[in-house]
Amino acid sequence: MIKIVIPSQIACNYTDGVHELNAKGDKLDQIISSLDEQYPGIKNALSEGFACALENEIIHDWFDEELNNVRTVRFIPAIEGG
Amino acid sequence: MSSVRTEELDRLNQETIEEGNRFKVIGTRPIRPDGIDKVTGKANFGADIVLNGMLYGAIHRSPHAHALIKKIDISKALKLEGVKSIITHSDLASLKPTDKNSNVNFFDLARNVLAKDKVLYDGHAIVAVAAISQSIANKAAELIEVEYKVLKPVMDIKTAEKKSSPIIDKNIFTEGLSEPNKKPSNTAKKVEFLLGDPEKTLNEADIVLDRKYSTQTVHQGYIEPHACAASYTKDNQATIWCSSQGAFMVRAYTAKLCGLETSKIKVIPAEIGGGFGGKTTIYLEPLAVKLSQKTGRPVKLVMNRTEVMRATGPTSGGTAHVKLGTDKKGNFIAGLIELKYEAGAFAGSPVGLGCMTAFAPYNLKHVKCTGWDILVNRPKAAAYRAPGAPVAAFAVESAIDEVASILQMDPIELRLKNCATEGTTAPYGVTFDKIGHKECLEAGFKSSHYHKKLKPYQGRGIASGFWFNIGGNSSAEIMINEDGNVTVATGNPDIGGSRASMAMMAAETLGIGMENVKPIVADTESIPYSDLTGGSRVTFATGKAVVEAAMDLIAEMCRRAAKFWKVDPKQVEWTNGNAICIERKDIEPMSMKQIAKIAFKTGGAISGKANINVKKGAGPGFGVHICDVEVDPETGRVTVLRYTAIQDVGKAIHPSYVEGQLQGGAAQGIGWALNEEYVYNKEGNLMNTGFLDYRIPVASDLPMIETILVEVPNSGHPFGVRGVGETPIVPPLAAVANAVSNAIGKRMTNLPLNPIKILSEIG
Repeated sequence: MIKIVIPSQIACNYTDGVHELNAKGDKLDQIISSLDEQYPGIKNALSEGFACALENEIIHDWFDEELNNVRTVRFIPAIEGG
Repeated sequence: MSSVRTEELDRLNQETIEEGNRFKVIGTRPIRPDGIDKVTGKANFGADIVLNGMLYGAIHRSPHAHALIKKIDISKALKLEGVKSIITHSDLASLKPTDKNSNVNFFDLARNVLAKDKVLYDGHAIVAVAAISQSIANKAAELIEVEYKVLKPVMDIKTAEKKSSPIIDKNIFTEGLSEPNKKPSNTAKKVEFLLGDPEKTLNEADIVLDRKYSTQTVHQGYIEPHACAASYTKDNQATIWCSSQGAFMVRAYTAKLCGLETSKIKVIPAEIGGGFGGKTTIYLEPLAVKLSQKTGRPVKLVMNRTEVMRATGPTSGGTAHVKLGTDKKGNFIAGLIELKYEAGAFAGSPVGLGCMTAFAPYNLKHVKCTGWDILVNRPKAAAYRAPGAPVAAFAVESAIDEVASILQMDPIELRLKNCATEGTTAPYGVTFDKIGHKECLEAGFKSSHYHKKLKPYQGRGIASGFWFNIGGNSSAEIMINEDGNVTVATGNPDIGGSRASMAMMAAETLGIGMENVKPIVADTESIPYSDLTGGSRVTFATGKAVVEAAMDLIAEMCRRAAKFWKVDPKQVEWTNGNAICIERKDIEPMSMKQIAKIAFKTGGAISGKANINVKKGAGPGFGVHICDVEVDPETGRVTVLRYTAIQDVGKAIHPSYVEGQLQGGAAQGIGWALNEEYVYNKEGNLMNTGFLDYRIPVASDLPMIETILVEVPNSGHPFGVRGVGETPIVPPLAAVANAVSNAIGKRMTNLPLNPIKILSEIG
């Protein structure tokens, strides 16, 4: 089981304020799709403006990243810069 | 680790560094490819473009910070001889609040480039005019008559939060609250990052430092104002010449606002005279395209300095409330920060990034970072180096300095005791790989600067800083010319020396000299899509694309050599700039010049390319700055006596450019700390719209900024590169404030530290 931490504005709109969710899967899009079945629309919401922190990496344009040895998936604001 | 000090960089030192360098080109300091054109005035910037039959544009701007537009009368302007066209917001594409993507809200962007129904800050553009000369265009802009219903301006965070204050944007409902806000609000968003149980843990701390800080709105201060020219032709194609940080960004944003397909617009990047994040959005381009479309003639629009200051994105002013708990030995046990950032008139301050960076340099198990994005009647905030991080670092690093003072502990020692290292989990959830914060602190502690004795009214400040660094989409193509030299094309405007670094990485990979490589910045029809130049991503991500393109080119050159030699391609290897047949000693190696000569016989012109999205591997950047100041007790004037910027740069491709990045970031941060701020009157009009009143540091204000490059290679890049451009603006605010506080014996918490504030503290 992988822990998924979502930002508060997503939690407010899709999960009744619950920030930490759990899902099973080998790939990132797989677990987010399974969450989407439970919380319709959350996949699209997380696809806009959010990057994904997977242990030691921040992934922008997240898609089907492997989740081997990943315990926590944390969605964070996309990183911009000057 | 190699160490370079600018002030000690004599020939011997340089040779020593280069001897220890396993590379032939990388790590050396060749003359910059764009240098001669720039120092001789031949380089073409946005405002230099001249086209046949070109018209000149001007913009009518709001004199009010907050007002409803009741009527716009363009009749007098239209009657002026030489005026060819006038546009308002209604000439732009019709957009809805839902027209947004992950990077930009196009509904807001369109209302920012030309106001719709309501003006939201002093200088907000309302009408654009095109005429046969600049003077006629300016006169026509003056003749525009706008009838307003003036509203009370909301100029600061405190006012914006009051329930009785006017609502700036009725479309804004606070996001991120546990109970959804049913009424419009000036607070656009709440963000929160939580690690462990900081509130409970704070109660167990021996020392709790609880302090509030504030900073003011500041501008990036790029020397070149925004400028562009556009030509719209009868086949519904538009060409834009402009200075920006991303030609593809300009193309996409302009297309959306003009209701055009992206592919109908070609953007030709001009040289850029500074951006620092401020040119990662658009202001003029859609107006020039629309005016050109209406007149059938090219149109040029150039802002003056006043327009730049009034109406282009500064970075947010903000407030920070820090609580830092430690034990008696100085171990950090809990950290909390609440940040409130001005977004300007449209939502979208970098407060989330401020939260994520605030405690990132430290190993804390219990952290809470809360951020609020707040609308005020000021220009929409734009990116500025390491957006959001400097304000947060100012607060946290000031608090750490105060804790060091309470504990009577050396401030570097305190930071070393708590610094993030490999394996530390940052508050935003990422566990760091190999990083160089500790190495930077150690380099600072060992520096001669840190041990220099100070006199009365002199003080020393230390501060650390962090930036994530990013990758993203980058494209590169390398073409062999008939003479065997190569052209390296990328899609990233060169704002910080990327042509030099791209050429050097190509040369190193190909095994040829830098003089054999010509780097160019291609237009949007000559190279595939590339994300904009920003976020310290280009040397890392576009550099990676260049290396991959060079490898692709090498593979093709080996195939051509094999074909010419009539051997199996597997028998050909690339070594030191030559194709070598490894199993036939009788075949002479073939250089790139020789391969160029056989290109047509063996299949045609030769090139290599790479179009990649670098999703991983951007090694985070850490820096430590040391600042010595002297405060004049009679006038309150602060003189920066000595300044050293230390940073983990992964691997410096061109050390001079990297040192320049550190020096530039330090200089901008010193200005932010000491002088710079937007000054508004009660009506919300900006009072300091030029560099005489908005005081950025000039060379005579500063000592030579010394640099120490720490090289902890990033395993995510073939040459170990980490982005370097963002991090150096993160520590200076706190480094300067800590130095001033230590010089006068009073804690300075509100920037800028101008003489009035200092005199009021020292009495």
